[in-house]
Order: sequence, then C-alpha cells, then structure tokens
Amino acid sequence: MTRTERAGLVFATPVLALTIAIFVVPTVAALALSVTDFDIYALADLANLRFIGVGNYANLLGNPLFWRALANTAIFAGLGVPAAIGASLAAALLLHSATVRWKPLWRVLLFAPYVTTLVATAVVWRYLLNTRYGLINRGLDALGIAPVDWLGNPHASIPAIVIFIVWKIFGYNMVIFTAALASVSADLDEAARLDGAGRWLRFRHVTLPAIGPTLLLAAILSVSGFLQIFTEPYVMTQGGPAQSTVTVLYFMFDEGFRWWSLGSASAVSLVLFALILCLTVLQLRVGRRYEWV
Amino acid sequence: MHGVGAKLVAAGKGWQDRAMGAADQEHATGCTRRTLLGGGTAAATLAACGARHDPARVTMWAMSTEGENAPLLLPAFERTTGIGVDLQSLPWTAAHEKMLTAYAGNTLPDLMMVSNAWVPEFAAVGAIVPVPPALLGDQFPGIAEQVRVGQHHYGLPWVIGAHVQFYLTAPVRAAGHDRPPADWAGWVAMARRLKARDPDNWPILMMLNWPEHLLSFAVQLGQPLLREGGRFGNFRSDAFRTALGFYKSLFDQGLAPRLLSTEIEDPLTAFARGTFTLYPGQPYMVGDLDRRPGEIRRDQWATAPMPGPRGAPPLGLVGGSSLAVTRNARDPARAWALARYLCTPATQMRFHAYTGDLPSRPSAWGPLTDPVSQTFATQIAHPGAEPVVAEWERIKTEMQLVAEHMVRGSFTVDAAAAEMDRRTDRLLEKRRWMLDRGTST
Repeated sequence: MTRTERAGLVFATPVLALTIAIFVVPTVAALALSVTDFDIYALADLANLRFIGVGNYANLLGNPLFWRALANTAIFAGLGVPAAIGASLAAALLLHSATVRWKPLWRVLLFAPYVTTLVATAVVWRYLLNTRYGLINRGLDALGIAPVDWLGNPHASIPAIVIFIVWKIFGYNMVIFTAALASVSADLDEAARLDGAGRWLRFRHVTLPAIGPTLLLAAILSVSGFLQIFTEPYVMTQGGPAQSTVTVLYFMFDEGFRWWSLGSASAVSLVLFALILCLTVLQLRVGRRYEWV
Repeated sequence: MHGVGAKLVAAGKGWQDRAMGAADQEHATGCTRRTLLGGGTAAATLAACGARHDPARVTMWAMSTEGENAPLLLPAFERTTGIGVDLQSLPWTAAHEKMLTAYAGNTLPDLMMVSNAWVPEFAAVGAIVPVPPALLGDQFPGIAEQVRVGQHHYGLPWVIGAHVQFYLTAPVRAAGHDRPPADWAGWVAMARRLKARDPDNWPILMMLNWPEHLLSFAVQLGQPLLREGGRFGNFRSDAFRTALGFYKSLFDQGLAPRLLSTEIEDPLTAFARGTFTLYPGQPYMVGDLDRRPGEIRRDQWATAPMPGPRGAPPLGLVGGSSLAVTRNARDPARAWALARYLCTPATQMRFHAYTGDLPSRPSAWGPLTDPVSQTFATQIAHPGAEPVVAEWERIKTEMQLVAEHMVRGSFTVDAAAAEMDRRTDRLLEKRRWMLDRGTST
C-alpha cells in the first residue's frame, strides 16, 4: 500500500464506518428479524422467538391486505408523481415568464405550503374536504357538480389525499425547476423562435433537454417519496375508509409499531426496499437512454 | 371498549379543551413556561424541570377525559402524602401503541391507566404487576373478572364504562314512544319512523371504525366470541352471525350513515343539532354534554340500555379502565398509594362531578340515583362476556375492519364471519403454540 493509498483510506474510513453503522447494520438486522416471528411475546422472553425462515414473506404474499397496500401505494405514486411534477413544472414555467411581476412574492406564496406543518395542514384539509360543510364541495356545487364524499368513499379517498399532497409539496420542485429554467440558454430559444418554432416545439426541443437531468432527479425523489407515504393517510383517514388508504408503509407501521410484530414488519420493509431500488434503477436506465445522466 | 369509544373526545372536542389539556400538562410536569420565564435563577429552573426524573415523584399516564381532569384530584393527594405526581395525558388513539413502545424501550411510567381489555396483553408480557390483594375489595364482580389473569388481578378498576344509548327525547316522543323500545324489532321500527319523519337526518350514529357497537349486539346473545380456550375465533357461530346481520341491516336500511370517526369532527354538536337521534356511547359523554349548556340541556336527552334481541334487560358491553403499576415502577408502594387514593369512593365522587365518569367502587354508588346513572347501573349489573386473551385488542380491530368492508358491500354476512375467523385464527397462532408449550394461560 502506497502512502497516498493509506492517506485515502484514512480519509474514507470515518464515512465508511458511519455508513456501515447506520445503514448496513440495521439492514442486516432487519433481514435477520424478518426470518423470525419476533413479536411482543419475544420481547418479553426470547424463549418465545421462533425461526420461521420465509414464513413472514409467505404470510405477506398470502395476505390480501398486503396486496391491497401495494396496489394503493402504486395508485398513490401513479396519480401523485405526474400530478406533483406537472404542477411544479407548470408553476415554474409560469413564474419564468417575463411578463410575470412580483416574482419573489409569488415564489414565497407557492412555496409556503411546503414549509407548513403537515399535521396542521392535514387537519385544515379535513375541514376543506368535509362532505357537507367543506369549501371544496361548496365550490363543486357552484359549478353544478354533485358533492363528493371525499374521505368517506373508498374510491375518492386516494384522489383526495393526492390533491392534498400535491398542494403540499409542489413548491419544492417548483423552486428546483425555477433554478433549472434559469440555466436554459436564451440564445438557443431565440434561435429556435427565429427559425419559426412555436411555444410547444421550443419547450419540447430546447427547454426540456436542458432541464432533463433536473426532471429526472425530481422524478426519482418524488417516486421514492410517494412510495413512502404514511403520515397523510395516518392523520387524515387512519387508513380508512375500508382500508382504502393503507399504504405499504402504513401497513408496516401497523404491524411493527402498533402491534409490535417486528418480524413481519421487517419483511414488509425489505420488500419496500427492493421495490424502491428496482424503480430507481429503472428510472436511471430511462435517464441514460436520453443521456440525462 | 371504553378505549376506542373515548376517541371521540380526542377527535371531537374543540380548541378550548385542547388548550385546557396543554395547561394540565404544564401543571403536571411542573416545568411550565412560567417557571422558565419567571423562575429566576437557572438553578431554580433546572430544579423544576428535573422534577420529572426525581425518583420521589410518581409518574402517571392517563388518557383523554381522565388524563385532562385527573390533575384536579392530585393537589389533595400531594398535600396529604407529600408524594409528588407527574401526570401525562395521552390521546386514546395513540395510547395502546405508545404503551407498547414504552414497554419495548423500558420507559413505562410508574402508574398507568389501561383499558381493561388491554390488561391480559400487558400482563402476559410482564409489563404490569399484580395488584396487592388489600386494594381489591369493593368491586363489581363482572369488572374484577376482566382484569384477572390466572390467579392475580393486574389492574385496579378506576372508571367503569357501559355501552348504552343516548337519545334525544323530542324526536323519540314524536315517533310515539316514551323511551326507545327495548327489543331489536321495536327499536328498528321506531328508527324507521324517525327516518320517515326526518329523511335529511339519521336515526342512529354508529361509527364504522369503532368495534363496540357490533360487540354490544354480539355479547347480548351470550355466545363466546372465541372457542377452545381462546385458541380459535368463534365468529361463525349462529349467535354472532345473527348479531352481524342485525348490525348490517341498520346500514342497509339507511338508518345509520356509513361514517368513520375521522369524518365527523364533532359528533356531540351533531347530536345536539339533531343530526342523530340515537347515539350509543359511554359515561364520559355525560360530562361532555353537561359542559355544553348552550347547545343541549339535560332535559333534551336521556339514556336507555341498548336494545336486545328479545327485550331488556339484555347482556351488554361493560368495561372501563383500570390503574396498573408497571414493571418499571421505581417505588411500587408509592404508585399503589396514588392508585388507592384515586379509587377511594370520595375521590371517585369528585371525579364523577367533574367528568361524568362512573365510580368503580359499588359502595360509592349510593348517591347516584338520577335516571342516567341508573341506566348505567342496570347495564353494569348485566355484563356480557368478552374474551380475556392478550390478542383481543387486535382481534377486535380486525373484526371491525371486516365489518366495515361488509357494511360497504364487499362481504355477505356469512363471508364476513368466515373472514373474521380466518384473520383471528392467524392472529392466535402464536398463542396456540405457547399454550401447547405451556408458557401461556
């Protein structure tokens, strides 16, 4: 080992040690827990612990609620990611327009929901979404649309929560997109305009390639964020109605911290880990094809 | 059962009560903003804030109504015994999981309030210790059985709950009755007349995520809900399916709305406004209704036992909460002294005046001759049997989830009963294994 190598190792060791301590060790521990039936009885007396191999995984696959939770999570992500990114991008494009005045003010107003407390806003949104007295149904009523039982109808509950989440988080990506839009070359845009490109063509061929990497980053973060949705349904619906807003993480929380079936909860968390890993790899592949990474 | 029922308080009460809860909390921990701001020297502030860890003080957890109002009882205890008390109030919705987490982390308080339904669970894992026999005299027999595991009692009954119906007197009279009929058929017929007279409102409110409504019908039929010594679910029994069918029919006929507690911000105001006429509930609601003289007066509502399949007095859902000393208690004798004080008849009568909570000592019931208290007394004298197994809280939750699916049309009655048994048998698998090894009771 040369001197430089040794020096490099010395510098890298603290980071490696930390990574092992706070990432690798807990993951391995979760893996170990997931092949046991560790529960409240085992917590009382380790003699009550059984090694059950893939039993937890088999139980999960045979549990309709787990599949339901997976499907719900997919619906959350499927509705939420495009809506959130679309809203962020639209807001950023609007703010980027040269005709908009008082830009800092608008930016602050649109960013404000992101920095407000989640639980407090969720409680306010529960009032907004109230079937009988809520502002949203009043608005729909004015448009001649029949009232929607937002949080009481198993089919409307996920869209209702997605609307709330999009309102809550779009400001964050909006700021990132605003920064990315500032770096789009004005010369290219100008040149394309002189060549006769319309708004859409310029967006598609000038703006989009320039902000592509940012878009990919936002997509990866949003997907992993939406796959880990927990607090919003926990505060707004407690997983109801009829378990229609139980997500994978909610399911894991219920198993692990409400009922202390840590073995089965660890199995869920590892499944979620694998899922997020696969999706991220997939997104990176897509990104590479478009040479965004 | 009292447990989930009191979620209402957490969900339903306004900012005023919440502010009061915060004030109580300050009072309880002894570390108030006032001490921090006006306390003078840093030493004094540190001493006040360190109080929580002072081993001479007793730490206690209690939920919702009891947690908010118990501080009113504590000064007298602190004066006479010289034992300081740090009381922390928890919301019902989070109490069970918080206690399990505290058990896992060895941070349980000295004394805690537990729903009687949780006693078998906490006793099974050794989170709580047996009650000294000297404290156990003067109990309702049905309640004492709920907190007994094997040879020992693990909780000292503190407040008693019984599931009875609160009703608005005016609409019931308009429908041609002095009081709601005591049998299922008559009760439903009256509810139909109420619905016909006032189609915009609902005759009955039964939150779809609270198991006690279904359970109160189920225990009336006298069949055990688990079989073979708590090894398997017994939800496919004829009796349970009868109760399940009756429960479902109330929603199917449009007599009760398909509502969750998360959807209705303030059920007591809704009750006062007449949105619901029959509202099955618990004793703490008496105190809550009495605190709203601007919305509803005592002469506008009354109570009656729940209707039974063949009339009154049926078996009913009776339970409540107990005080338990935990394995982490630093000085169990002091903790039991506090529990004994909170359960003396005189203290319980003061508590009744503050909250409407009913005393657990039969000898304290002498002055409670008013009709509302008598309704509860009648029901408490006829306790239906709930299983005493550690898994019951979770089984109850699963049962209600399946019942909700059924009410929303995903299951027939028979399919729902089968699904309940399937889920229950899975939850009881560990218990069966432990029973076979002889490590559980």
